[in-house]
Amino acid sequence: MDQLIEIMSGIRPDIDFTTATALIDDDLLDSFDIIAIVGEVNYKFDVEINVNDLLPENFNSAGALYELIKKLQEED
Amino acid sequence: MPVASFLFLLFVSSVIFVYFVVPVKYRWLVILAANIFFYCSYGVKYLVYLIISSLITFLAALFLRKASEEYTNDVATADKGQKKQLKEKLKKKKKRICLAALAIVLGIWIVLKYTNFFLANINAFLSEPLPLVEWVMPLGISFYTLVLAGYLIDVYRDKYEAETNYLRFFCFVSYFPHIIQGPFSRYDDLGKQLKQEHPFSYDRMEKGARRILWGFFKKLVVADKLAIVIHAIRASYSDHPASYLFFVILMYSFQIYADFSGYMDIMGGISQILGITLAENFRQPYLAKTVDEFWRRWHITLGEWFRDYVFYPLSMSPLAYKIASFARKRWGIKTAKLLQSYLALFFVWTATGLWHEANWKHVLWGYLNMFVIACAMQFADFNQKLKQRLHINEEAVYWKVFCVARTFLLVSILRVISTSDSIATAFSYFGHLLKGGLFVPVDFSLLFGEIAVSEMIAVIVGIAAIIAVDILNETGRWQSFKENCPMVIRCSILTILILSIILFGGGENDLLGGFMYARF
Repeated sequence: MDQLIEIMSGIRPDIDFTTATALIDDDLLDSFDIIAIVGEVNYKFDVEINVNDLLPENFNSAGALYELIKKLQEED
Repeated sequence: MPVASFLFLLFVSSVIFVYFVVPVKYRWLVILAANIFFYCSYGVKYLVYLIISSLITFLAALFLRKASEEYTNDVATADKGQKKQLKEKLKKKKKRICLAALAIVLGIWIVLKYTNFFLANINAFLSEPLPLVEWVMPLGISFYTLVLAGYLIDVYRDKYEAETNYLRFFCFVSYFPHIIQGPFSRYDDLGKQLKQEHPFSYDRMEKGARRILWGFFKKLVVADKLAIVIHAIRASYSDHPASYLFFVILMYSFQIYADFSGYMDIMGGISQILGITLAENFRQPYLAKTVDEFWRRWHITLGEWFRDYVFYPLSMSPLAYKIASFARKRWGIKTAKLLQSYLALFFVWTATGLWHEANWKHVLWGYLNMFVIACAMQFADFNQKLKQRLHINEEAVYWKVFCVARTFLLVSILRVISTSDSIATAFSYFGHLLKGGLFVPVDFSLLFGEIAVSEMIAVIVGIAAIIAVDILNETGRWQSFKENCPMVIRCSILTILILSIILFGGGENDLLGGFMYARF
């Protein structure tokens, strides 16, 4: 989780990812941020987040994204 | 059948009447019949293209469904190693089906829309030019092709299951409120709603009718009157001082907004009466603070289509990752993010420009929009530091007004390129703007010389009303304004709208269906 927060904060240092829970709903992250986060996550966690996973519920918080990563790792 | 006509009103009234008279479970068939009648009213030959494209998409989606079902059956009895093999096999099979169908459906559209563009470009290098083709251009092909492609890609991605009834599917694709100018509906939204039963609702009828009225007001009283004024000035732009040309640039933004959003209100209102909610295409676009934000508020469903089916797949493609990975190692995470975004933006804006019209001026217009967005991204840190140094409070009203005005100005100026006869004419227009005379007082009686004074007042009041509604919507006060508005004022507003349409309605209405976006 800490590694994920570090990745997200590296892309958007102005957001506190430890507390934010409506990153998409509140328009805090835009599509450019999302693809950058996905790129980093795929690389660092060795998973493959695809277009179908780009749902608000998967990106609204660091916790939700972490759950998605765990799910993808288990599927592999 | 022009939408801004009595014939269309008669058609819609008949559809609504029959729709609510027949038993609930057959109502979708009324919509299907209405779709076919409406579409054929523009030419029966167009229907052939619509049927071919929709049938290919429908069958391809069924093949995708069948492939997935076969995989589910096979995988139930397979071991771990076989499962992986079967999954790979399914992936390849689905990809082949999807790409083949997309090639045909998009191919039909590309050939019909872009052949002359290719020929004209080839002719520029030939001493004996090739003759241009005069092929039919099916109504709404740029809209329904993308809707079909979106459906197929969604089924390919297992977002939802393929429809098994072709008539149901055709009813979705040809839905008359969206077939000519959008919005780009998704099957899991509109298709689902078309399957649901919608009993009559007086509340929906009233709200829908009000929205239709507002749409006709925007179109007939504001957009069509502005069209006359703008056309007259732009046709002789070299004879006018810069202040007039500048004013026309700003007015065009209101013309296109009133025209396009007016159409969406008319169709959204009709759909609302039928119990079906169409996706919204506008969210107070002229209150956007950046160009990037503007494009998330203007023609929303087109932007979302390009985001989901072009931007994301390209940004997440192996090539984009390779570039990002290379950039990350060399220049860090921020540059990697920018490079990845620029690459996708380039393709999205090339496609957006060409989607509008097959010519270079639209491509240039697209690239300039991209350039502005890319500059904002590139200099985001610098801008932030500058604002801090200048002690600018981003929440202050003056700053918000400045950002909104700046964005409106940028978007309006860029439109000169896409709306001029050619790129050369656009730059000539800019040349006259810079020649001087920007501070010459505008004589409104001369500027609006092509229309009556009463019509000019109606246009100005109409623009003010559009801005007021947008501001109320933006600040979240529109709903409470509507609910708390006394009946007398509400009735007066509706009477004024109806009278304005009767007295001032009509104008430049020579485009297909009478609406600007119908030509795309």
